[in-house]
Amino acid sequence: MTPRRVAVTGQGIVSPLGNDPAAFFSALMEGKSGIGRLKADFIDKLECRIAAQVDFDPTPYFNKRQLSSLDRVSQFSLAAARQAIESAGIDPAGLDLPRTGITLGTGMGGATSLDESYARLYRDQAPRLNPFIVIMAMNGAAGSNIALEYRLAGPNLTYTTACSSSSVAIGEAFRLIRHGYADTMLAGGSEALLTYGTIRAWEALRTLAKEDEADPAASCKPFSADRSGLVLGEGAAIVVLEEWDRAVARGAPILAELVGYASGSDSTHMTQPSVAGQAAAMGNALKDAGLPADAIGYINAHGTGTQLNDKTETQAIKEVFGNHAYRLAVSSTKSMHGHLMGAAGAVEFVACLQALRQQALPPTRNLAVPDPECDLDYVPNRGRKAESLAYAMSNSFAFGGTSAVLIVKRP
Amino acid sequence: MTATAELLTQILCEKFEIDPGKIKPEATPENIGIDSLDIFDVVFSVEEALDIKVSNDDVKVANFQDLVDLIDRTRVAQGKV
Repeated sequence: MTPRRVAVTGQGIVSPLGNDPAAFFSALMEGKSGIGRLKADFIDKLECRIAAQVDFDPTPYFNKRQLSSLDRVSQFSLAAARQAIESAGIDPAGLDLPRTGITLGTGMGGATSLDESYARLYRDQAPRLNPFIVIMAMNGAAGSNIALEYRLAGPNLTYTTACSSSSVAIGEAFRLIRHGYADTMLAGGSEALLTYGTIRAWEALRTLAKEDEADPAASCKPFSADRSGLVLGEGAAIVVLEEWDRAVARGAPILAELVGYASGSDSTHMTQPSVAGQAAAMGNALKDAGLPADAIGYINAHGTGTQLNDKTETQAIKEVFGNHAYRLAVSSTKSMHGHLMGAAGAVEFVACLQALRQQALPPTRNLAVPDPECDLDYVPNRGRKAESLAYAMSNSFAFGGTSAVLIVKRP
Repeated sequence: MTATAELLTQILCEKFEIDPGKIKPEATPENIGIDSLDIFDVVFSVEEALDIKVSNDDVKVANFQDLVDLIDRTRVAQGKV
């Protein structure tokens, strides 16, 4: 079978910068930050008090009955999926269900439910737990709830590869359509890990950013010499992928064409990134798309804001792109929406879709102190117009070593 | 309606937004619109409210009256009447 083309026809988002793609991207272009002091009753017990939280009221989306068995991570994924389906102009009743599926990425799954139930068990000595706890907390729930809502009968797969989970999910959905296993896929990621237990675990890993005391919103400083780490975030993004001819035939709004994907494993260290691994993923994605390196005009970097990631990624970009590395634009939007872990790749993929459509490059916020080891054009502090941007690349690199790179083309 | 039936009705309506009109002695879980996990959820809430402990094995109910009887039997057996 000849590989089939894949269109991106719908998008939905729940993010620290707003709960629709247009608002999200406007906020990015304006350099707004979704990072701030965490609003939680346990904040006094934390060393790290900053996060990128979502302002999300589930009551317009779900009734009480539904909420009793939906972890926050599934609430986010369902809200984003509904937006995506609607924006794709899809009537759910008309879906070819056996040919439609869902791939979702998540890092910590139903962390809220698990954290709360363990607190009840260990701290409160509760005699037993909520009967829904397993199906709320399991990693597959956020995707399966979407499958259930639309009665999808195609592939229903959840990927957990830490920070690259949702890029893997989108890439694998792309392959399912490309090679004929499905015609329409919902794909993306969801994460809701801002619980006491999870934040404490991240604190222990010592990769979190120090709070910028003058301006907590400016705590995440990717590619800046004074960067001190990442800021945990929550949210979800889902896109609709469709086989190209089918999308054209139904007059779907084609946002972009997904043209390349590669994933690989560093296999060098559990947390330290590798130039070779990152470069291989970018190079293989270009090969997959059949593109020369200089076709890429914008890279949405993994850009976590840790000392190690940002210089490693910079070096890997130089290795793959040569001189073109200095001509293309690279930015880390994590400086504004934080690190959404299992949802990061999907949220940043939406940023790439919007960049192509609006011909605009979102900035890297808080880039104040140049680092000689990070010497590319990171679109510092101010977003700007793009000049005929045709292809954008989205990088995701993960603890555990799984890298994933996606390439989208302006339609 | 007995006090137990009233309590169960209240929990069902609050938890699952069920129309109280659907809750009759002969109503099956299907008639009410709940599944087996929901029944356990209701039983756990009743356990907390009445400070009783229902064995999982005993939670076999064909209709609403069975559930009321189960709770009443447990209350008597555990001296929580």
